[in-house]
Amino acid sequence: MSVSYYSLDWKLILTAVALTLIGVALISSAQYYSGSEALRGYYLKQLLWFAISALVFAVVLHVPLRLFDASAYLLYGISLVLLIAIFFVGSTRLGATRWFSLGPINLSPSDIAKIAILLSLARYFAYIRGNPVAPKNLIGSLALTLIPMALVLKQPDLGTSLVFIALLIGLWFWAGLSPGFLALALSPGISMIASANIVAWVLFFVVLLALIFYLRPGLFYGSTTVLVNLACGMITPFVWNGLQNYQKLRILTFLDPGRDPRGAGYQIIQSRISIGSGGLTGKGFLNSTQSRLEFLPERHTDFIFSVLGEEFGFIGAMIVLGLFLYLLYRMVRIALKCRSKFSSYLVFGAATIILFQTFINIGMTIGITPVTGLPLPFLSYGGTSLVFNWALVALAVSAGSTWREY
Amino acid sequence: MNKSPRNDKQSGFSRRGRRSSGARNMDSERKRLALSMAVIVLVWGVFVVRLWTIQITNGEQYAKEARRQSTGRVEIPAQRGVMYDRFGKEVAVNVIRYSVYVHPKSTKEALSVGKYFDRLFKKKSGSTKKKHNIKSGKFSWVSRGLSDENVRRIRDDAQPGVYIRKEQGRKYPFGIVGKQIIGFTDIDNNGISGIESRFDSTLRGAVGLAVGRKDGHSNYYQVDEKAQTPSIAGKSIALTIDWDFQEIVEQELRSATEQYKAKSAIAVFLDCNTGEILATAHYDPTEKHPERPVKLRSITDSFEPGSIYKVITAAAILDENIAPVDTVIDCEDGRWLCGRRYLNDDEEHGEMTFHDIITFSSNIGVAKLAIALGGEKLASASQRFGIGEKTMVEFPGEQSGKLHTDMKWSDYNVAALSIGHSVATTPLQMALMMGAVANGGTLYRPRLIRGVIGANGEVRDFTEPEELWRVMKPGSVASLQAMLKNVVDSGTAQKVQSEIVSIAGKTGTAEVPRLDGKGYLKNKFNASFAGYFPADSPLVAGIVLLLQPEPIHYGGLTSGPTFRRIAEQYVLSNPAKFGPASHRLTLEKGNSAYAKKSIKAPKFMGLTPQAAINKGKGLQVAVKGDCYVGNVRWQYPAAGSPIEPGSVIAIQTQDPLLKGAKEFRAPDVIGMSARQASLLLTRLNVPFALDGVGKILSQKPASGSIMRTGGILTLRCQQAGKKTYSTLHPVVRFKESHKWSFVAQRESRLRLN
Repeated sequence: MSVSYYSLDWKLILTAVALTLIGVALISSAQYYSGSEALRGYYLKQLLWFAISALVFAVVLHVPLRLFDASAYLLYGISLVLLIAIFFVGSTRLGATRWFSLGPINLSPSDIAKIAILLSLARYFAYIRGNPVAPKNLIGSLALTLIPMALVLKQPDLGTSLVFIALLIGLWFWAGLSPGFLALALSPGISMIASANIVAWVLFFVVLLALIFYLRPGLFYGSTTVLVNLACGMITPFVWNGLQNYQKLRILTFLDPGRDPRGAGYQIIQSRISIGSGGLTGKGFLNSTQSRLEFLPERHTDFIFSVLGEEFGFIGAMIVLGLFLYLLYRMVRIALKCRSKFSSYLVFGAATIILFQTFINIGMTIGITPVTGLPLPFLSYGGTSLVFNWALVALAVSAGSTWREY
Repeated sequence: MNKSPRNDKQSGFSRRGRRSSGARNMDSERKRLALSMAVIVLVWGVFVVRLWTIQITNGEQYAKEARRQSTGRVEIPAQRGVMYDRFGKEVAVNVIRYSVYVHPKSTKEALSVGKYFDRLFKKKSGSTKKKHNIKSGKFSWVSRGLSDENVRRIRDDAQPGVYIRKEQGRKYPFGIVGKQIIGFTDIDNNGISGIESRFDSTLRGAVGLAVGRKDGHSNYYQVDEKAQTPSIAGKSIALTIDWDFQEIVEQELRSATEQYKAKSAIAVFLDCNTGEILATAHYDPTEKHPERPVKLRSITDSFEPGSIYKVITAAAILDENIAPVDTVIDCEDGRWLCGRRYLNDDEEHGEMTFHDIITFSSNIGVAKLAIALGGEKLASASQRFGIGEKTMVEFPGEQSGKLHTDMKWSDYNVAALSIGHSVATTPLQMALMMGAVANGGTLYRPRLIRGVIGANGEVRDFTEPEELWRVMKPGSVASLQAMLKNVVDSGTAQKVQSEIVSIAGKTGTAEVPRLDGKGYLKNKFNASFAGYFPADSPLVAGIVLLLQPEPIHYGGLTSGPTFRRIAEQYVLSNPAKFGPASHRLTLEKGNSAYAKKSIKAPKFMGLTPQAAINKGKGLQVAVKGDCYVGNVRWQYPAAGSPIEPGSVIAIQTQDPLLKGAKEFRAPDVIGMSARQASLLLTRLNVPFALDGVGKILSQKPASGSIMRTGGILTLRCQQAGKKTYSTLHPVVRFKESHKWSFVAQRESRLRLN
């Protein structure tokens, strides 16, 4: 199929390009004074990955979306196989088995799984006859998500598994689930958190019951929701004990970074100091002290936004947030105008993934979400992540240029 | 793909009044867009509010915290003060030293760094890493004080994780000469012993502070050149030591130890009119690290003085008018029951005058006079001479010695003290005692420090000689001086007689106390000679102490000649101070021996003359002197001293006295310095006349020609009659008056960045 370059959403593409290049600049600044030659050269590697991303972008653009539609479940199966295989042949880093080592490239099946689940869920919802948000469909889509999610959690990779949940919720919303029911769907998670405090938990149940009374989902679903919430609240202590130590630490330090400022809370505090010291206009490119002088850990990957905040200040942060906002707006617009339901779900799902990762990552750097290790789309150093995000953009652009097709 | 609208109330949880997804109802589209964008904008709103609070509201506070974290104070080490000898010769200086440390960023780097040094230092694989415990993210020194070649190699290789740091190091241009006085510093330039330790705070200066950029691993970058507080260079110290003299003393102690087979040797020489110590050293061949001395035994050890103590006894007897010098005493033919014990003399003496008792060192005679004097008076005279008290010389670890003052003074106790037993003194105390006798009866506080010099060259804390008190009446001093002169002229110290300088003094041969305090070791003696010179107008007083020389153990035969040789060489090398002795003599002095391009004098000792000459050719030195028979037994400069390439080394092979030969072959001294020649000819006992300074240009008779014993060798130098001082670094020069002045500005200090 031929692609009309005129019909491409250039505004979306250029926004993503801008974000990627800002990322390259920040990576070079973050490691500018690094003692390691390899680290200093990371921005060049990122540029190389950008070129690879462009290639992937072009390929995705030239593959008809119908082909993705048709092969969605196949891809899903492959990604499941990969997720299982990783426990046998994957390489372990920092206590987590997340990568296949293919020579110099570390391939993360989680990113492939994200695409596969996105395609599968889009396909699942697109071909439903009848109400897509009927309970059986919700349960079906939930099952489709939970299987790979469980495998990812086992790695363990809490961040990616949360991306799956976010994607599912986003598509439920796009399928037409009302905010009230979305709240009900999310209630078990909230129950788990609230159960830490008995008063909070009781209050939560009051609100939950009021919501059920207002939405009237029926006796079966209503009582099921209440029971599930009760169960979730009660198993929380066991789940807590089942968490890895570092996961517990992250949650605890998120709640109170000062409890261990030299250890687990270090990243959060240092990130806040970095961003805060940037002030309104920042210290200028290559002039950051906190991020450059190695106070800030993972500054070229997870905490790239802190480098931005320090060097370009509030204004720089606003510009990047604006670019993300515009990118998401363009994607949601495409999702809206697509006649093909598959394309529509696909693009909205892609937007959800980018939104969620951005939210978690930036939130982490400014202390409103826990540290999960999710990179900031387009900006963070990391080859597979960049290629993955560009693949999402490519799918969106492709869908946008063929919006008239069913 | 159109679908029929369904009744959502029945079968789904969809929003009311809204069709299922994918529908193109404009209303619903706008709602979905609005809702989804609302969620996004809400999230973005939270971001904006949060960023506003962090960056704008609390920005200044975080900026302050960032500054606090990333700036650190860096200590700027201060330049350590240098040390000069009494003429401004630099004897302890600073050098830039390069050290290498590692700070690997990763385990891999730690491994490669370890391997790198294994290769560089040719060590067993893995040993560097193990030895210095090299780990990722950890700072470790690998080598401090690198050779220039290794610095260059490490710089060229630029191995990641390996860093070179410039440091200040200490250098002692004269090697181990005077090292016991100077002491040494540790690797971080802290004074550990000697003057380096005693005056550490003076030399050290004050560390400066600079603001530096600090990173998360507490490494410093971009140290601000304009320091917040500049470092204050340490003050320099001028010692009272004359380094030329010190060198003579150390060399003679070494050869005396070998010649007389002593365990060790100690000497102190001081200016008897000021108390300034001119040279002091000990030599102990068993010391493993002479470059890192921890004591100076002339100050830090005490001994039973033996017969030299009779000087104090005699002084007290004369002062108290117990007996005139011509009082005749019966010396009991060498054996006398004193109390319940016998007192012995080495030689059997009958009746002798007080004067002769000192001259021949009769224990019995001295004891009898001392008993007449009484123990209390003897003890108080001892105290007047400073016995049993620290002299408060500026040196760490000084001993006070031991003097019993409140004992029951039985005859035997008095007798023991009068001949220098049951009392312990440091060699320094004995030298001071001798100095007091020499200068006419005034005890001076001994000094090692002439003054302290500020960083800009201004002289601070200039010290004046400190007169303590008179120890004797002037009248009795003259009598005592006459006795001491007689000791050398006709008494126990006849071997000390010198044609170059007149010497007065007293010999001592003390039994060595057992370590357990029960009596004395059999046939173990400490031989000593304490004296002063010139005898008629004394300038220098001193003591030479040989510990347990064998088989000859008499002070007059061992320490005495050593004292004489030291005195002769000192007098010869200081014509300005001592005036023309038996020869017209002017000598060059200064520190030309220490040149930047200096090499070390090779060792010729023990070689045959021809072998020495051949060895010298290969090493850029000319070997001259008495090169005819036997093996080399003396060389000057000594092996290891810094010399300039191409300079001459004087050697001596024959016995100084030529064993009664009627004639001998004239040594070759052309090209030698006047000083070398005079030292050699003095040792050979060849009278000589010298004109001019600097190198010797001609000699008469020519080298190798046969000379009659007693014939004079005439030497002619470059310039006639002019005294010159050549210093390589015209830094500070002191005049040989005790009022000394600052001459030149100090060289600009080396910078340490």
